[in-house]
Amino acid sequence: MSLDNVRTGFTSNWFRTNVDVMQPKEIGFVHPPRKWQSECFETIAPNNPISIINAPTGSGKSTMLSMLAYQRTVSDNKKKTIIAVPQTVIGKGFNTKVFKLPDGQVIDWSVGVDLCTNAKDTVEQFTNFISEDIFYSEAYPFERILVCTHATLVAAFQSLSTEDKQTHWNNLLICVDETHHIQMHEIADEVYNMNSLGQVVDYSFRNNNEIILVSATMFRGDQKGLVSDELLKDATKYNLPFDKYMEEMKHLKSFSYDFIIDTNDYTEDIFKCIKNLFDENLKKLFIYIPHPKSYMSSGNKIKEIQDILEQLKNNLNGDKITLDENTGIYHITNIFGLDYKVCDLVDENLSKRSIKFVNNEIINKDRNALDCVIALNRAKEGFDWEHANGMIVVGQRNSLTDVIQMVGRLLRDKQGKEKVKALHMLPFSPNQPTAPNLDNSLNDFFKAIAISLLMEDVFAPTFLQTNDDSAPTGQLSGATPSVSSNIFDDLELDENQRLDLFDKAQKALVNIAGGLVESQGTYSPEELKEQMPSIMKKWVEENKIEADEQQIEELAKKIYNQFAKRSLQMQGINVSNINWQMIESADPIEFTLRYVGKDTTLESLKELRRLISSGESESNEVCHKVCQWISENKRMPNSRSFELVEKKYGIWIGAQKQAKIGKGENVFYQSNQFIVNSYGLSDLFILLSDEEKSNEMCNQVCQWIKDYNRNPSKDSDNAIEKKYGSWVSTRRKAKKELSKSGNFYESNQVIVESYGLSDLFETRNQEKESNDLCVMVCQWIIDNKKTPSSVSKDLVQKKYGEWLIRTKIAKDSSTKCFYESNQVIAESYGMPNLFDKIDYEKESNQTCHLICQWVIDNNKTPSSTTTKDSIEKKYGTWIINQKQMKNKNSGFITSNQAIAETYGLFDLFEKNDIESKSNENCHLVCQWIKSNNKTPSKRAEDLVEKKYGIWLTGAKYAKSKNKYFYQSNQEIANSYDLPNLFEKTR
Amino acid sequence: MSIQSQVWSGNKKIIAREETIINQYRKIYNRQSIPQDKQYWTMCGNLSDNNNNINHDSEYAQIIREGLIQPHQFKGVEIDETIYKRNKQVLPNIEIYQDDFFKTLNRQANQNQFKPAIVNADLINMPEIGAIYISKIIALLSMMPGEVMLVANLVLDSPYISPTRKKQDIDRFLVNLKNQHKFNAFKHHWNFNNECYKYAGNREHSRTSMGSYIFWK
Repeated sequence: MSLDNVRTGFTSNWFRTNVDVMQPKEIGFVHPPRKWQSECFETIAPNNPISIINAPTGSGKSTMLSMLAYQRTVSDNKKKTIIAVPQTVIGKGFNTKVFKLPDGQVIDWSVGVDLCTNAKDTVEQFTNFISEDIFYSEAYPFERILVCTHATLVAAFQSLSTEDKQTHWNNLLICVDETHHIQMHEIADEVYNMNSLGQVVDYSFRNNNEIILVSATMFRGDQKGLVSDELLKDATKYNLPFDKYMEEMKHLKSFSYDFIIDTNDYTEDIFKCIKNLFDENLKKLFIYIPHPKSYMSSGNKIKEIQDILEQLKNNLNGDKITLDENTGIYHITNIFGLDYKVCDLVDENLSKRSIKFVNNEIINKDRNALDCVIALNRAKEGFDWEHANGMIVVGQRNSLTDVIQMVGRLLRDKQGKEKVKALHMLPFSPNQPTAPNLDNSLNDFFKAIAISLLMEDVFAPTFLQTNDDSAPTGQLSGATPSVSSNIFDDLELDENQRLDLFDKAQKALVNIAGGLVESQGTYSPEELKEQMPSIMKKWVEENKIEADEQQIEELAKKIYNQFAKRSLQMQGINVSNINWQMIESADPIEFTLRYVGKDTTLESLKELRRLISSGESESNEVCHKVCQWISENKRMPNSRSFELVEKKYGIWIGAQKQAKIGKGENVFYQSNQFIVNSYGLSDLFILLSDEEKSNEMCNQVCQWIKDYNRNPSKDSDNAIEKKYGSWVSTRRKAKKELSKSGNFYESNQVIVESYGLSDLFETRNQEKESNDLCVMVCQWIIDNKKTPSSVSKDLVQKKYGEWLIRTKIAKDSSTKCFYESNQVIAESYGMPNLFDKIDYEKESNQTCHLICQWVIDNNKTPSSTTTKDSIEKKYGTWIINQKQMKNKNSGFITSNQAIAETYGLFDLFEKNDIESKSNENCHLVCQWIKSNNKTPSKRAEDLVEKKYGIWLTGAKYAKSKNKYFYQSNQEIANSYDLPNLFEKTR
Repeated sequence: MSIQSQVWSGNKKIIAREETIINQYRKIYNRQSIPQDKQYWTMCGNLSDNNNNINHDSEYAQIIREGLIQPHQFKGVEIDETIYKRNKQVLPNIEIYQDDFFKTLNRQANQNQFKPAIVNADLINMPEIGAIYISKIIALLSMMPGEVMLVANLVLDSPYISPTRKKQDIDRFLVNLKNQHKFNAFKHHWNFNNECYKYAGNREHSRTSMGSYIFWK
């Protein structure tokens, strides 16, 4: 074809299309905003630069935020809006939508820059967005709206220079969805410890940008503040309590929360939980499995998923489980037409496909599209599956906020969904330090969930603590108990025996607890503790371990303390005083322990609100009186005043300060803050920076005293004890000189009293105290004909021994205080050398010679446990102690090694090789299996078989927990053609 | 670096320009040339030949030769620095910019320098990305007063794309464009005659299909 043809019209390249791009877009019917959305729009929309919205999950917060963002962006054609969400999956919900404003205007919303969908070079795209002027955006507000993750917001902010921030970080509307991710914790007056997101919000606030904060859970579970007081002061707030929202719901009438406590593998017990929900026709399930590092996890999350699928299949009478490779969805089917669809968001190999599946609107449009979601950290905030009506949460979660977010998944109003239910599976624990019994503790936990749904900022955060590693404090170990105990070594228990002992003790305790609940409705930790020696005794006898009564007692104490660390305790709980009982213990037959939640309805929530309000009004009354007292007396009330009213008010203020930071037993009401503000006493409940630090130290010291059952000494060689001792000393001085220095904090006194240590800061006559102790020590020496040992297991002897050492050191030192009066006392008892230092090495060497000679004479090493000869026992114990010191490389006197070698006893201080011993046992067990053609039973009457059975149980347990299992044993088993020897059998 | 000036100034391209730009403009507005105070904006590519002279088959030479514009009305945008420099070398008095096409138009608009009569968006994108890019240009041009013709030129098919996307046709771009919120928000300003000018890539046995869509207001 030539150009001439074109000019004369001979063309054949034009093709017609039937796609009518110019046809107007059809939107269809759009629901008007909900009642609360209209109210909120009226409250927030008109010119409120800082706004905070708190509304339940599922109530339409995202649409609310879009309505406000649209209104603000349209009203100022230079304003740019940033909507930040915690996860990309939530951001996708902001991409496009159609909604109606309260005035009836239909908005066909589509964000200009969606960095959650187009998540490439997000920081660069973000900085381009805030720096670029798009010409047409004046007529098209969506071009000035960006959606990104919190992480992108932070990264982009941090990438900007100071100059760039000054130029571009202004006239922005910053909307933070799921605001509870912000942290601004006040550490001093107007000084905040902020996380990165908090820093962005704070900078935006200080540079006069507009801010909208939205969340369902306004407080953080880890007791940190969300936003600064200044920001809060400037903010217009809208709070939609759950009960008000429930009034707007058309279908959902109640929810309940049960706690299940058991010790078995959770993937076994979950069968009963699933059945429990299925029996109530709650078949649209969320199952949140525990973190692999947590106590309840097997460590193999993929296997756990497979086990859960099996349990679902068993409950459903399914025939098979198949995986749809395209969608990543499991189908549980049978010949009768069952097709139960399970989405696994845990397995990384599937999650890309399964996430895509659950992000599709089909899961809400088609009730049959999905039946169950199994998740670990996903599918919480922002995850929208309206049909979900049942939930199983396994193990302790990060915070109360986390739990509320999970519960929130169920609280979506949907036709045919009148009731929802959550089952929370927790590990067994024998005691609950802060609650009289377990059901009260759990009731408090549920109360905290319900209250947080009702109230905006009344309650200090709280969380349920177990020995789960995923717990926020991280202070409790979920691992198998420490095995470095002296008593374990003294009894020469190998690793498998220790694990077996722990396992048996736990099961025995659970049985006892279950029995007690059955017979008396509850039990106390003390009742369980009392049972420990008999459990230990039984185990010791069964395993033919020689142990005396004292050793059994010690073993019982050791094991119990390990369990006690798993306490289901409430920290910072402030709800105990509200008499709202929604959890009660139930028939424990089905599970070890079960606590059933009553149906929480609109009526019960209203009752809870009434109860909270009544507590609040009483507290408000006291607050007014305190403020009036301060106004009249022009000073703060003293908690140690002899005047009872002043004392009461002083104590009340101290307690309120504690409550405000989420500590102590009291509730802090925001209304009290308003009251004190009205009296011009806005700082009344604020702990000063130094005071707060002092309180922290005070708590540490009190805990130390509780742990060690004595006061810390400032003269101790132990750095921590010395630090604590010095601190107590300065506090005593401060208290004594209160009128002069004035730096003693009443809040410290409140704390020590809460630990039952009210005299801690009272000044003592130390010399007199020391003299009294000196008399007791001298008398003890005369009675016992020996000097007390600082390492004795007898606490009195230990205390006297430690005192003696400290006093000897003091006498020897020119810098430490030694009372000559003690020397006079010692001399009066005929002990003039009592405080003279001993040459320990010489003494130890002498003992070593004696023991070596004993070994040569008796041709064996002395036993600390299997002999009744007191000398042999003493020598045996001495050798164990030396071994430990050598092993720990702490305090071992090397000249003793030289002495032993002169006797030809080169290995006298070498520790037994536990692995070798374990290998020997493994060989014996394998040979036994080969000879008898069966695995040994721990319940066998034949003692050898029983012993081998017990050993094998322990080894299996060790392997299943992946702790203290020797791979060499596996190799030995393989060599006997028993590769599955250590696999757990069901 | 050797620049293949043949690629965009070959016979097929010349005919396509004649059909989709020159003839279309004259037919739509019944005018031989664009008004004196208006501009012709294009993603210009290489305008020189291998001897560093003006390429007489180039877009610049063709539309001036055809009398559609005067040289000062030509506004070229080229993102490649080497091509840009060569263009500036052979046409030192012509306004040529080195940047992204949309960014340049947007900047000119913000500076109140943007007075388009014809915009030739000669993209090398496939329909999916092309629809996003064109909708941005349409949104921007919607805000400009008076008559504007937009020529959206895209790759409909390419030998380099995966077999699953091989079945590109002229509808693909329009289906994608219809889903662009921005396009929908501004389309009421525009006309479109439901036609696409489809032609093969410029090499003799090229398997690439190109398509041009004309929007005008």
